[in-house]
Amino acid sequence: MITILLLLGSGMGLYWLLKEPSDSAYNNVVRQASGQEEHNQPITVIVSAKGLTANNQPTTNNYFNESLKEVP
Amino acid sequence: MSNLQVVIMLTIFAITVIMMLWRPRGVNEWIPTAVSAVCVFLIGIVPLTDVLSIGGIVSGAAITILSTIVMSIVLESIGFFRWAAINLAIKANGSGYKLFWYINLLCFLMTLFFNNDGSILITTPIIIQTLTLLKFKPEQQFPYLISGALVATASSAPIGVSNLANLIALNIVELDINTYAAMMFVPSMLGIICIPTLLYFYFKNKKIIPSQIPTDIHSAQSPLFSDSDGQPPIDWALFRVCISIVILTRISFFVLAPLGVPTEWPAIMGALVLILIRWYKKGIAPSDVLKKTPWSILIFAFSMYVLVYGLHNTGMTEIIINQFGPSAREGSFNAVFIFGLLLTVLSNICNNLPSIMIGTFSVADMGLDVHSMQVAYLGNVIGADIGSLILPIGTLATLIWIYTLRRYQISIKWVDYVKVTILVIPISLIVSLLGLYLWTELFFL
Repeated sequence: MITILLLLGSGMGLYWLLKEPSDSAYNNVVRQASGQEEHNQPITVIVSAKGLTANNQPTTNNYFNESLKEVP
Repeated sequence: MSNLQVVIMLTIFAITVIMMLWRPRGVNEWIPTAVSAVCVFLIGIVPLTDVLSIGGIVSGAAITILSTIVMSIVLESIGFFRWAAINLAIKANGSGYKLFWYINLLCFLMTLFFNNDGSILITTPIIIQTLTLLKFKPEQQFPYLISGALVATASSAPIGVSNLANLIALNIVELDINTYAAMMFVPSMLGIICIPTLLYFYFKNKKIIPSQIPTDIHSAQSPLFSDSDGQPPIDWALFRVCISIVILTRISFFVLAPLGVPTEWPAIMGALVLILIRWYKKGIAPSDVLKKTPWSILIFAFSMYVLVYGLHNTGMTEIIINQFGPSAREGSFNAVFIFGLLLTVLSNICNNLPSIMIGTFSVADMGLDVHSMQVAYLGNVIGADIGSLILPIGTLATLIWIYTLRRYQISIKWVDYVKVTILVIPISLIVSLLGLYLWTELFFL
């Protein structure tokens, strides 16, 4: 019983330690990581058959250029 | 056994130990042990029947280690280590001190949940990836790597199932797994807490642990942008399936053991299922498992067993009994410390697995009362799990650690390792042994 309790405890401890941090903290770090904080975040233009849409999703210049090439 | 054979055995053993410690031209530790084991067998000190029984013991350990290696390789290829490293780095929140303690906690919990060898195989790559992610310099990586390895290995003492060495002779000394945990958890925890605490102050005083670490984890390492660093993004569906199989395999050890199923079988099944799923989903053939397996460590373990059997056959156990028996019979305090220190010395020369076998033979034949016999055996285990950490050959886990570091092109010299362990391990060992004596005197007499 003691052994099983210790194993369960260690499993829960591992879950706590390795689980992804809460959304706000995680997104904050990821935003810093990608160098796309609010003030310098580029606006991505996604080109589709239906036309152009703009949003705040991070992307790369390559993708942007590739997308531009698809403009008829 | 003739006197000539005794002299030959002692000479071979002394030469092996000198060669292992000296390591001329960086020769791997398995080579002198393997050559000596062949000599001992050919001379007839260890007969074929003993070699076969050693094969039985080592194959059990080998299968368990192999299945954990498979698990570790599969976890690596599905991106588990990278995911864990990122989360650990984020949790540290810019503090090098916090990261130090989180890494030690990870190693402790991982050993409790898996076992010492498995923990080393899983946590070492996570630590390396975390430190790489945070762009640590090589000298800054050392405190995190060594404290993780020492804590991961020492943490196998509190629970019987965390280390093969703990289980070798539980029934001989009339202990079951739960009584073992009740008697050992508190004393061994004292020693385990001692290790990172001493290391923390040692490295902090030397200013090797950085107080602040980068918080801007490079975008190339982030799972959301993982396709930009050339590594495949994490396959979350496969990730969940594999983690579930790992946990189910672990649970099945306990469910199937009372039914008489050896732990090797669920371990093999779990490993096979993981390999097949990875093959089917990712198209990675199982051949990399053979390449990444540390075969040299298994040869080392086998050869060392043969040498220790040779020592046993030439009367080493009787010498121990005659030499230490009278003092050990005087009381529990003597029994705990004699066997704890004896196993520390033996493990650092001959590795802890064969050493604990010699220790157990001695405990069982010494004519101690049941309580003294049990605490002497637990003293053995503390010596084998914690005291053995002074030299890298003391445990298979530390050898696997060095092997894993080499795979990631990180080289740690024996001298650098011993400079740290010689300061930390003896103190932690004494604390644990003293704790064992007091704890068992208070609650188990």
